[in-house]
Amino acid sequence: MKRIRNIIRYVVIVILDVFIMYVFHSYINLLLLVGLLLFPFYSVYGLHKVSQEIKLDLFVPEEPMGKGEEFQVRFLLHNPTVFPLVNVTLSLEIENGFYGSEGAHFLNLPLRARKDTRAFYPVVMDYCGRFEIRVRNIRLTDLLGIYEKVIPMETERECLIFPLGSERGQEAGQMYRRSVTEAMESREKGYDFSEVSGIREYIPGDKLQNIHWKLSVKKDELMVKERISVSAMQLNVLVELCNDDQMRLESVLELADSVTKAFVSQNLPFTVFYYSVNQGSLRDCYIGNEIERVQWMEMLLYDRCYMGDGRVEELFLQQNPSGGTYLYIGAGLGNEDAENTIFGEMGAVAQLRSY
Amino acid sequence: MLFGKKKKEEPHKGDVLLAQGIYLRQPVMDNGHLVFNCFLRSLIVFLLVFGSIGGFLSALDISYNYLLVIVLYLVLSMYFSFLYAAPKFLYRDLGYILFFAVFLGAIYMFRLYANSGFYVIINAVLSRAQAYFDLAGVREYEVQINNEYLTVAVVSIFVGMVMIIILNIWIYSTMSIIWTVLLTFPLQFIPLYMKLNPDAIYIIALSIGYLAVIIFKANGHYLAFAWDDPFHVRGLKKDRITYTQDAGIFRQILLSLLVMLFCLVIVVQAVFPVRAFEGSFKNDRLREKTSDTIANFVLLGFAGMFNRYPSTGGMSGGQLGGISNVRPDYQPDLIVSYTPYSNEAIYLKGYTGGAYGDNCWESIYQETEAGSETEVFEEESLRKEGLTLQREMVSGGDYSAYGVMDVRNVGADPAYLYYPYYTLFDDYSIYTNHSLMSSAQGLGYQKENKYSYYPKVVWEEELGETLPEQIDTTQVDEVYLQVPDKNKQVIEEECAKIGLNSEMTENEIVEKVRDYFADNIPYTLNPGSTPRGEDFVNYFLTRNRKGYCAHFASAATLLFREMGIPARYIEGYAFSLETALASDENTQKEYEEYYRGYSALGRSTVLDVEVTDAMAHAWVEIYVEGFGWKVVEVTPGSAEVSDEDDFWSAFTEFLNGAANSDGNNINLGDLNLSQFSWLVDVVLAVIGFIVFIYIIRMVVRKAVRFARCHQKDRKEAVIARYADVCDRIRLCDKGFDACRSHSEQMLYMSARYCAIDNRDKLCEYLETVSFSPAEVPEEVLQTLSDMIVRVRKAIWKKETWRNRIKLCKR
Repeated sequence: MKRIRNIIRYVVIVILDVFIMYVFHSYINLLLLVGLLLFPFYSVYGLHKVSQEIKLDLFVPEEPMGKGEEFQVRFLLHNPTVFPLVNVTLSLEIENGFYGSEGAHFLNLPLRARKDTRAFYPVVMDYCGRFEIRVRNIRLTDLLGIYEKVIPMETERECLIFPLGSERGQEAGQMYRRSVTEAMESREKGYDFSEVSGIREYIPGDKLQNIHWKLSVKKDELMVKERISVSAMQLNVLVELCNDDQMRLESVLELADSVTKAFVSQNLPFTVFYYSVNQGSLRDCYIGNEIERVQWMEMLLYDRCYMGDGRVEELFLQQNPSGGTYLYIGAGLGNEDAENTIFGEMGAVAQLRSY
Repeated sequence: MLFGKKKKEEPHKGDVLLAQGIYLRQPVMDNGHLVFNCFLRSLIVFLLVFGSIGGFLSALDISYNYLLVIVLYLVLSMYFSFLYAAPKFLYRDLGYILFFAVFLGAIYMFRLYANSGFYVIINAVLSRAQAYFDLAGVREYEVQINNEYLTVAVVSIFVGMVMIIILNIWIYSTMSIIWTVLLTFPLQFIPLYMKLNPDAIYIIALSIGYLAVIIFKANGHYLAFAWDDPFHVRGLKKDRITYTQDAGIFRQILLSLLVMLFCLVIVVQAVFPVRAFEGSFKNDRLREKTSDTIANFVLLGFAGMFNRYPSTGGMSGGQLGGISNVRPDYQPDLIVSYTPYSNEAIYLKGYTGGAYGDNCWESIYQETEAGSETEVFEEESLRKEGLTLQREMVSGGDYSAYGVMDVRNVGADPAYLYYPYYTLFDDYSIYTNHSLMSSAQGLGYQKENKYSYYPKVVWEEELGETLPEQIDTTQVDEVYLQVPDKNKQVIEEECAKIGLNSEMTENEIVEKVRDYFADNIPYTLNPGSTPRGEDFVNYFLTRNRKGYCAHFASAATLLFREMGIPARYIEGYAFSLETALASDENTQKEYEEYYRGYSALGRSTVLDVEVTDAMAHAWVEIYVEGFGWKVVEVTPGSAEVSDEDDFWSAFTEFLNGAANSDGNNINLGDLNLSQFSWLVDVVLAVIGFIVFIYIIRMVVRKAVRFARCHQKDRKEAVIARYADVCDRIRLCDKGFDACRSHSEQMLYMSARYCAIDNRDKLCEYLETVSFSPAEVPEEVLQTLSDMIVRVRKAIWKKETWRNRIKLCKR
């Protein structure tokens, strides 16, 4: 509608000019008329040239950011032509990939000629996850506002937002020791917790400590010991990524962050299990230091949460029927005993469970 | 405790929700300093004002202190532009008040300069007009300060100040191109009318201004204040975040326009110069139609455009010079029943002027002694000539004739009789004392007189072939040979100019004068009134040299008298045979009762002719030796089209087609409407198009809304319906915007339209539907839908008619 209004307004001006020129035999109006008749061509040609040359760069922080921390998304529009445009509209999609929540809006910017146009978005995320921003297209409007051109774009950037768990070092350390004690008691009863389930070829990302060096030398290629992830001296941590309407998963992730950070800071190795929606199965990750913990967190946030019933505990028990102790981090039922439980916000719990 | 209590901060106040849990704080962009922004915007105002006033002065070739004007225009433009950069409206208002105080002080201090500068410009305009309209002379205003270079600059600055203030407001608030053009362009009409073009630099300045206004009006981003952020977050409804303004873009657009228009003006001037352009027009209707009026205005000022006494056609009783524009109403004044007998026009005599006095023809009764009015009337009504013709008729002369004419007054001045030539009255004694213009003696309103007359259809060849000196002037009053002293010189010069001499016969003199008038003095209904203190005939013959019948008849009367031919000025009505033949036939009246004797047209019929005020006329009677008084027509034919001039009639015809059934043009005053019939089509097409687009837009909006409210996803449909209800309420009351949450909105709906039961519960449902990704039970959605329907009906029921119309239009 605005375009039609602009066209009508322009036509009225041209008619008025022609009328004055014709009635007064006015040379000024002839010059104006030539200008008015040529300007739409200039305007549309300029738009066409810009549409061929325009470039968009999008920047988000490369390092993961903490939940609630402000970070900047930077838009940089590069126009090497000599034609400026007053209205350039970016069609933006913003998403938290972990939670699957998304929104779309338009960002209107000017486009200066032979210059970069920069705009900054200070963004804050209330939930941790994966911040994704996509520019679907750029809509260019000519100077007279009568012609538009849409340039498809598929520029996409993402940034991970980590949970910021509180300091739970003492509680987590006690929990760990209690779990290990239970494991020692179990071994004395004859259970074997250390087991290599198979040998396979090395896949980039495998831990160095799992490389079977002798076999690798023999086969002249790296081979890796595949273990059943249960270890008598390690704690298995099960993180339930099931979300609900109250977004209690946020509290679960914060608690998981607190607990795992505490384990790492006290040099207590552990293996984390969670259900991966992307893979459709249980995933585990051995964590011995902060780097591994961060890698695990990244891996987790590249995945997605799910709604409904919890899955991780059930799948873990199916895969490990032989019994043991594990630390469950998820939404509590409200009847947990205080001795074996660390309580988080909104009913999130880290509870030591045996089976 | 009142002090030291910290207000709890809302976590995301002012932030924009981009997606669930993702908030955008105020976006940032380097859009230039506000001062620079204001400066650039002030440049548009500067260019427009400088282009307008500078262009006007350059077209008139008036020099002035350019530097002073440019600097002050720039400073003033920036001052008013920076008022918008003030952090509060109050400061802006104070800035205006301060300026007006300075303005008043300045105009008081420099009043003599401004006054002198103004007169310099007026004198320049008049001087140009004198040359253009070929006027004998124009007024010249006295200039008190002779330093034109400074005084013109001062007056330009004062005029520019006013333009800058108004333009600045429009450009900041609406960026209106129409108002901008209306304020800056009309000044150019004055030189343009006289075919004077401004210098190219001013054309470029104006063009840049106009195009910049068009561009920013089309694209927005012109209205920004000091407290504005770089981006407007227009709310989630539109999902649009727009920047407010950008100095870089302003600068680049102004530069682009400068370069483009500079090149363009140079190229166009080289390829199509002014002379070639002006030569490409075959006619110049505007100037043809209006030059008389404009020239009168230049010559006489506003007074020349108005009549000093009313004249819408009809009789003026010998008064002269007070009519600027004759504007007949084309309504019938007389209904005349008669039988046509000749190709010649029929003259109905009303007023006879004797002595030429102070811009008037005095009544012949003015100097009449008491008791001798009857004799004068017999002489005025040509009784002697009538009796001669009657005798011829009785004796059966070859070309003699007798006629009867019924004249009914339906709108003419009742102070006069309107009778045909060579009427014989039954009783001459009743018509006396004409100088009093007594209506009792004239043809009263709706009264009808029946006249018996003896038309002289054929004039003998020898009549008028006498030299003036051979005329027996003892038969006529000496007043008919008098030329006032004040006119003597002009009339003598005019006689010499025409080429009249004493060797010419009466007929030759008449012919010569008639031809001279036809060839040299144009007929116009808009001659302008005669300036006070000027003699009507002298002014007509020496300076104005254009006029209507009264001008020609008056001048000719004096010319004839100067040449020794007794002559007098007559007013009345005249109509042609064509007019008569276009009239209705009166079948009630018998031909034989109305006409007997010789007819140049053979047997005809009785016609009822409507004589309008446009047929009122002035002519001359001269005394022809051997017969008596005869009519002499000296008024040249009108080149002007005098069609229907009533506005609504003309407009109706205009709408009905380009030309009327006769193929004639349709005129409204001086404006030929037929030329613009295409304009009606265009205007109607544009209006139709706008209405069509408006309706389409309305229908599309309604369809989109319907589709959204009835989409398959029940949850989304409920959200859309709720949003729709909110929009409806917002349309009726802007106060609804203050409700920030669902609970506040529902409270508002409940208070204004209808009670909502379980408001808290419904609000909770609505929150769930709006924000939770989880599935929502069908019964919850149904409950919400029912509530929305109830509120929507209540809105329709409780709102005013005005708001209902708004709701329908959305």
